[in-house]
Amino acid sequence: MASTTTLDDATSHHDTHNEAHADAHDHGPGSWTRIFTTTNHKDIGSMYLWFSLFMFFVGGGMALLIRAELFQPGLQIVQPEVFNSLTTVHALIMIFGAVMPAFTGFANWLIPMQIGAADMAFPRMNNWSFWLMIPAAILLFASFAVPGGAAGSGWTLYPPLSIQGGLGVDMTILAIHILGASSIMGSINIITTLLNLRAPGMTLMKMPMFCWTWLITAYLMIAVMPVLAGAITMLLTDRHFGTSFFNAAGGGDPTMFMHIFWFFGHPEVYILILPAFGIVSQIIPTFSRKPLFGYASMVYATASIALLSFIVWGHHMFTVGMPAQGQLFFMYATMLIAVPTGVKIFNWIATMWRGSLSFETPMLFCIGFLCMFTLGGFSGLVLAVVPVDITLHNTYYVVAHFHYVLFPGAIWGLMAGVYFWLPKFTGRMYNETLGKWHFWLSAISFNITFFPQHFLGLAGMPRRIPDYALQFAEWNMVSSIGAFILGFSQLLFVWNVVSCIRSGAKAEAKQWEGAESLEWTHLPSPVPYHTFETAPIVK
Amino acid sequence: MSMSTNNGASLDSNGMAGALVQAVDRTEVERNNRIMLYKLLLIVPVMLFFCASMVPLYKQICKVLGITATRAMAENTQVDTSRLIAIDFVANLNTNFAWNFVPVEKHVDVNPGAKMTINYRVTNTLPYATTGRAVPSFAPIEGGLYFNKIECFCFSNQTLQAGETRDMPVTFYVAANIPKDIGAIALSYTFFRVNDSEAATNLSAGNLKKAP
Repeated sequence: MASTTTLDDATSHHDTHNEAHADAHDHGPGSWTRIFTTTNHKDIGSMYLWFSLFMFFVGGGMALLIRAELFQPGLQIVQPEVFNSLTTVHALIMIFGAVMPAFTGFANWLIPMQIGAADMAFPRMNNWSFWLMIPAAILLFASFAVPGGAAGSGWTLYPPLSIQGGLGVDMTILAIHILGASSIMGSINIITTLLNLRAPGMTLMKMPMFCWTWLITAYLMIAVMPVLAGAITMLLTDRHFGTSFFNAAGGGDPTMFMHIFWFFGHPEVYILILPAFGIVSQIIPTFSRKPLFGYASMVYATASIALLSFIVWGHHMFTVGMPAQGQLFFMYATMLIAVPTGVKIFNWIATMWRGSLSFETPMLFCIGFLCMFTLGGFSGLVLAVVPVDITLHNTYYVVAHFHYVLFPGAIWGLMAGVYFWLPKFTGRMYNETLGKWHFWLSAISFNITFFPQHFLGLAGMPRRIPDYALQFAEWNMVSSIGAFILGFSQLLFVWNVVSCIRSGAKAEAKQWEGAESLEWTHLPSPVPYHTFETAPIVK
Repeated sequence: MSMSTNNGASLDSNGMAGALVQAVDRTEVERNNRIMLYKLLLIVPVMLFFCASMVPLYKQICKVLGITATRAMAENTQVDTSRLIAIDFVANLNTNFAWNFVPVEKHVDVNPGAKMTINYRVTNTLPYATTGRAVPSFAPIEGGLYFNKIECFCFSNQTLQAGETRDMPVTFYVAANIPKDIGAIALSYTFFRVNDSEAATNLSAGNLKKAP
């Protein structure tokens, strides 16, 4: 792995070709047009990360509106139609606008540096895949302003509701098309970079885990994004061109949409988590001062999770009246995923076992990730059981489950990554005390927000409703209070990042003594604009 | 770990020969990248095709594996298999009603609780369309309390065209709590001719009650 890498002095020469290219297109770091024209992986990585931070707060604001409405029974703040739009767009923004771009941002920043490449394989396509996301985001936001409001069918866009909706649904469909194209281009870029541009000696099985998880994630994305595009295109033709793929009145079948959607949707949830696995797999060894336990098994476990994710989609739709054999197949296949996931969890624990642990902010987020993600995984196992799922389907138990895997899973993985690599990106240190406050406030308020939702779901409260029966009032109030603390404590993160960039203490080239990947061992902090223009030789 | 003291900044020392080699390598790399791009782009139409072929795929897989589209029927646990009730079916016609009316199955033995369907066959032997209505009766009378009809042609007007023959099903079960001393039930239907005027107003049982 990276610990055995070294620079080969003999290859340390200037790359005239690349220099000319950079001069022609980068417009230098000072020009204002740089954000439109840049093809530099670090610029684009930063743009992705800022974009996703912005979207995270927009989506979070919607979540707070939802929780404010649910603070008490009855309708107080928003009308039911707006409430439905809020739940729909909150999910779409968080998935396609916050988590996926943030991971792509990390991929852009880190993958070339971790494999010793000068840049991504297709720098211009990289620029394009970022800028495609802006019109998509504008479409999503603007859909609130059109007659009928934004899509209110939930992010799953199930017909018949999504066939009946107004212009907002069309805008959402178009936005998802664009985001899908962006994701496919990003994935192609990442796979090509990882397969073709590795430094001499950097074999696949020496790549840092973050690169591995992204390689697998990128394949998942290329495979399922076209399926989603197909499903929503059929939706669009059903809406406007007289087809009846999903329209029962014309002989179509709404269940078919669910099958196609979840064939995309289940791999999608692993797209949202696997890169976080990669980040965690880099941070835990660093602060345990031990190499990652079971590196090869981690790679195989990630690949197994990805392959299994293609054959479990039915567990999202146990209640559609599928044959008992189908339910059993999807139930057992779903439970099977717990095996490679368990391999990963135990490997992380074994990495920490007898390690020389220290608890800086990134490590705290990773340990929080381990505990909370495992909890979310267990409630997932509960939901995998067909008879249990039939009673819990579409209740708040499901909401609690996927927030447990997505917030402490994907989001904390990202937060950990930001705290971990910020010294490398900016050359400055964040405020450790503030980081710890951010972690503990998030950890406590997250559980106040989402743990009661398990109780609500078990008691039978349905999801996606703006008003509810009186017996659910207490836990909803608790959940809403937690949500507001959780939401506002994320401002500490923004403050910490901004003040780190502006006035943080100077960071060292190898800020974390246990860090072993190329960006820590071979590059100064902050990293120069161009790195590894000559590939290092990895031994 | 072993690493040289070099960092990224010191990599910029130049060498002409090296630059030439690098330029050649770069076109090679770019060519490889492009090939990879095309390979990966191929996945997109393949997956779109897969998306479109999901329905025929499902059909074939379910056919090969014998997975039926409907959920397996739950076993009826309310059947009392310890005894059989003999059911006789009788068909009667009211005087001067020239229809042909017979039970297709004249006799069945059923377990209490088990569902059963039998048919009556009726033929309009008149040269014009006629309307009739059937009324059931049971022997013994208390047997009727335990004889539950799920589907039946009785009490509603049945209009048959000239010469038309129709099979009319009766779906029923005998309640599992039927007393032990009832071992047989006879179900009899009697068809009455409905007056043309009465048929026109489609008089129902409710209207009959309101009549003085």
